Amino acid sequence: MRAGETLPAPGRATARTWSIGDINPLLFIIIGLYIVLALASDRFLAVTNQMNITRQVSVYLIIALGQTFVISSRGIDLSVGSTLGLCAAVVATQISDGLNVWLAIGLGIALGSLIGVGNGLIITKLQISPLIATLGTLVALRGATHLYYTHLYAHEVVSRLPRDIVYLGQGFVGPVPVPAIIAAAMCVLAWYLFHYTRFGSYTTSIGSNEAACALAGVHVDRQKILIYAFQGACCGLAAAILVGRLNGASPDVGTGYELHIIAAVVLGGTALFGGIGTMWGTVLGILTIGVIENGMVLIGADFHLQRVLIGILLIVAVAYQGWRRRRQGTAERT
Amino acid sequence: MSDDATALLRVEGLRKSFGGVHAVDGVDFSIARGEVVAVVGDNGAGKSTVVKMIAGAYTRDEGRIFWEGRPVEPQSPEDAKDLGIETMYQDLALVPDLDPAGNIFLGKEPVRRLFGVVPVLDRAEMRRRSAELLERVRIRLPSLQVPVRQLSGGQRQATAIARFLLSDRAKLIIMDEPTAALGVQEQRKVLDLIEQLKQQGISVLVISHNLEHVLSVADRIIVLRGGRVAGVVPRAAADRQTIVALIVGGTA
Repeated sequence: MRAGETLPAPGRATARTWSIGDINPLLFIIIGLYIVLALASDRFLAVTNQMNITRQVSVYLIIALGQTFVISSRGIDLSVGSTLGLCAAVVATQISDGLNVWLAIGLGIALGSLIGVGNGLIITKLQISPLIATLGTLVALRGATHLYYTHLYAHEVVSRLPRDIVYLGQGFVGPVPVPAIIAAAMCVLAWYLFHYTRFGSYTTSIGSNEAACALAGVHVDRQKILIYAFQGACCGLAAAILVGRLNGASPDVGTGYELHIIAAVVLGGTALFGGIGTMWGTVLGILTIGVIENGMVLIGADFHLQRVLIGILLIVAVAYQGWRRRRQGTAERT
Repeated sequence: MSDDATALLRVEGLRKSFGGVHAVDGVDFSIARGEVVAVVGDNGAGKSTVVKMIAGAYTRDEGRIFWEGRPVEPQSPEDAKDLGIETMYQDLALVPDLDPAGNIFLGKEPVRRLFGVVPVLDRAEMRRRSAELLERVRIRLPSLQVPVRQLSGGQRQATAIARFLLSDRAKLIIMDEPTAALGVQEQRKVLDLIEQLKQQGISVLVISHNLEHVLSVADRIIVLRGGRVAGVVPRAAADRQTIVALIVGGTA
């Protein structure tokens, strides 16, 4: 590949030889898990259980799609769990107080986006690293959520919500849970944005070489703010679904989600240092974790075993990705 | 070689000092259309400073810059770009995880409408036009769809050059040490590339430490010493000894 004398004409030589290594290895892991779990539990493959998995992973998946953009741009958003918590608080309390369900969902998405814009502004204008900026908002938003319940709403828990919002979280269309349908639609949207638009292309490009993007006239700050806003919007939508699923909300909703979600995104193959991202990998990452969680419950394993497994899997997956990229000569960083 | 009337770029009495040190102390020269001009000189002779004033990266203390006969004030690299002056940076300013076509079109991606409504990046168009641009400078890349981090140094330079050709505005390309840090074969390719640009009618201003390279591509060689022009040598009269003598000065 170096010298180029014997190379074919430009433009024509586009076919890269396909290899089995191009398949995301998580797919094999998921297939392996399915075989093992199907043998270990006769309930695992039942349609109701499979649909249950899709319902369980939907909220995580919607947030993880946004996080894939964030991490691909060499950022990170630790505040997703807290954003989810505050949005859930507002959506649940407003519906409980009689606001139209659809308006409340819109309000949740708008609030999430606004929080994302705030994160983006802190990162770009105050030039604070995303890790610190969103660690700050993680803590602050959780505190704000508690304050919201105690001072503005005067109850610690919201419950018994109208049927529409419960349908959003618990309903079915045929055998398919409504949250899974929404998550699938969001996957299509995220996949389109990521692979087919300037928004997606600039996301990975900024993660790869921000200075070059700025030099080429890309509005880097604006793009980053939009990325965090999209992540926030995902949290707002996920909050509405979660409120429906729980038929209520409490101040601790979403606590610890950030680690679960970042683990899934990285597990899927998105590079933590930006430049390379994969929506398909994120879907597989979320599914892997979801299948492990579901399967461990079904076979009656100790709850904490799943965390050990997921942790080990994360390390193995990242080690594999690093090895593969080094072998392709793509790991060098400038 | 270049007459004042036909010069693409002419600078007169350029001066720039940093904290009392005269980095550039009255420099005059000109570049004609399609001419390759090399600037050589010892470290601290003022090469980079002169070039950065033309590229809009530094503002000058004194002197005038004429572009196509008109006085201009490039205050920023963007101003220079608007005039048609492009600078190739040493790190090439490429996005390593993006393919050559993506890099060439970065910030200017064409968009088509799927079913007449949904906007999508027109990757086929990007590849097609990238191939044309690369063809113009006789460069072949193994693929337009691999990340540029997998390309060799010379192939990355070609990608950076093709970026400049895209806008069709580039009339002068400034290259700072384009052959440094490249293998011998790759260096040859970069020199060929400069030759191709010249044939396209694009002027090239190249800074290089490598006199062999300079002698093989430059139409004229401007030797700077202590912030002044020590001599301007046309290719016909250029040989290694003359230039080295001008670089080190008449102390012999």
